[in-house]
Amino acid sequence: MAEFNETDQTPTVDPKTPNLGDSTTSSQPKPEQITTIDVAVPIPDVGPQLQVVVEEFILKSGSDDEEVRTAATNELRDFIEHEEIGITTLLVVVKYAHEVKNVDLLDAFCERVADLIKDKKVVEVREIFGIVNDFTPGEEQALRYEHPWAFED
Amino acid sequence: MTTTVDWSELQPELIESIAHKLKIHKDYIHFRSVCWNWRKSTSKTPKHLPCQLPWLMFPHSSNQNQQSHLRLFFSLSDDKIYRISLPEASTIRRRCGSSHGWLVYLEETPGVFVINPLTRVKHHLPPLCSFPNVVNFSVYNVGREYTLKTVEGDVYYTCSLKEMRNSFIKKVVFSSSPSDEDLDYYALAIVNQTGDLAYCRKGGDVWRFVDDAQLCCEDVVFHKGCFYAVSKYGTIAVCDICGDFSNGVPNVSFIHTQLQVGGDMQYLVSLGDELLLVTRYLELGFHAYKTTEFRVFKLVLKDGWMWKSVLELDDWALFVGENSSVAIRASDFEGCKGNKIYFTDDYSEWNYDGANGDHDLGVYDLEGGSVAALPCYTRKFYNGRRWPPPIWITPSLH
Repeated sequence: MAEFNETDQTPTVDPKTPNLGDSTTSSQPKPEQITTIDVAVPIPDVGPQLQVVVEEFILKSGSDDEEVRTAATNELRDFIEHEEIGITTLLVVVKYAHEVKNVDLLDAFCERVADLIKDKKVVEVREIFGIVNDFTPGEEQALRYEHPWAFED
Repeated sequence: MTTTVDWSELQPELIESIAHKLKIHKDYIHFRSVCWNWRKSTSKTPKHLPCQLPWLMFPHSSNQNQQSHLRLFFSLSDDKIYRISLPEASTIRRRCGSSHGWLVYLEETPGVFVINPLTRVKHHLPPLCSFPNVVNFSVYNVGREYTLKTVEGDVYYTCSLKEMRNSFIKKVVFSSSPSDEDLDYYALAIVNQTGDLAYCRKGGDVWRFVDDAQLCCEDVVFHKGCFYAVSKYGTIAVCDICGDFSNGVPNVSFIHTQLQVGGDMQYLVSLGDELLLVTRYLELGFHAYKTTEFRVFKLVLKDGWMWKSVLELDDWALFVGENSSVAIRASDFEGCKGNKIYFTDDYSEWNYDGANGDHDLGVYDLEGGSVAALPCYTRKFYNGRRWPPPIWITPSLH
């Protein structure tokens, strides 16, 4: 039975995402989770490699030494740049970073998300992120009319 | 493992965090068009976007009949021409400023207005007849509607509506975007005929002169909270206009540098904390002027103030012309190269109507000292000077 430290910070668990806070409790307890990492909300299942990277980052980002923090950020950005992170996993990490209120972690992954949006048409963005278009044709026309030049594809 | 929350249902703060990582206005507009939640969670007038790579606003299309309300803008980064509806930029109006993404227009009435081509939001500045040297304005004095007085105040002369529109103001520069609700913007105008600097504040009724700054009328830039104006020889007038001043008169101080000799036009560029002087060299060709060289200097204090030669701009690109000069980091944008000066025509006080030849615009390479044509102006495109001359504008969503 995994034990994890719940700090005074009450985790805001979104009822719609039962996997956050649930799935890892039944997995093998990692030594770091029990003793050294003060994680209010455990890291969800994002694959072993990314999990280690995120855990390490969270640990280092809490350091008082600015150099340690900067090095950690650079390492994280390096990892994000070179590794293929699936879109679903990305969503999980972004939401997690938001929940645990780790600004630097959130920052790094939001950049990655933004990179996927850069230079893309709207339909391409919807496809990448699996988003359904919920504008009516009239609404869509109206919003395109605000900046017609941006939609001349 | 499935997530029951998808990307469109993220919390508003998360959506905003992602949107704030977008640095190009087109990407941001696309972001807001993906789905309702993404749209609602982001501002229509974002303030986080950095200064965009300037577009080149083309002269009026020669085919005046077809869709004359459309103006063409060339984007260096997209290598595309965008058509934007801007009926306010009609041929009877004259543009005299491009600052923070806003264009300043004069017309055959005393009115002065500013407009953002992307948002079509329009503001009015105090009218021309509110300048201190305009003593009278009457529409009944046909051809002599304006009565002005000279600097000494003893001689009166008249100007027509057209003359005032065409030659009274050289350039208008803003301290900040006119659309910023939190900040009051200030506008500074260079008056052509007298070389005076005049300023007004957002919502103000009149233009006021900056005392004793007549010589510094080559160019003006907003830099580190003040307006800096330069004379032909490099003297700077630092005009502290923003904010409230105790005796109602803004504070003006002067920086006297070693004399800058040579060159035909001067521009000032704000590059972070540095103030740059960009000197333009023209050559008189066959009935036309052509830019042959630029030299760049930066203001340094070393045994007195001086303009120190700058041989390399590294990653920076400068955009000069009739617009408020802008320095852009080339690596932030596609289609922009560092260590170059992108320039357009800027002969406002000279007789433009009689000029022949092509527009004098292009890219100057500081390394090689050569001038190249802009990507949109190939040999085939040249068809003589057209009105108004092209101008740089930094497109802004607010």
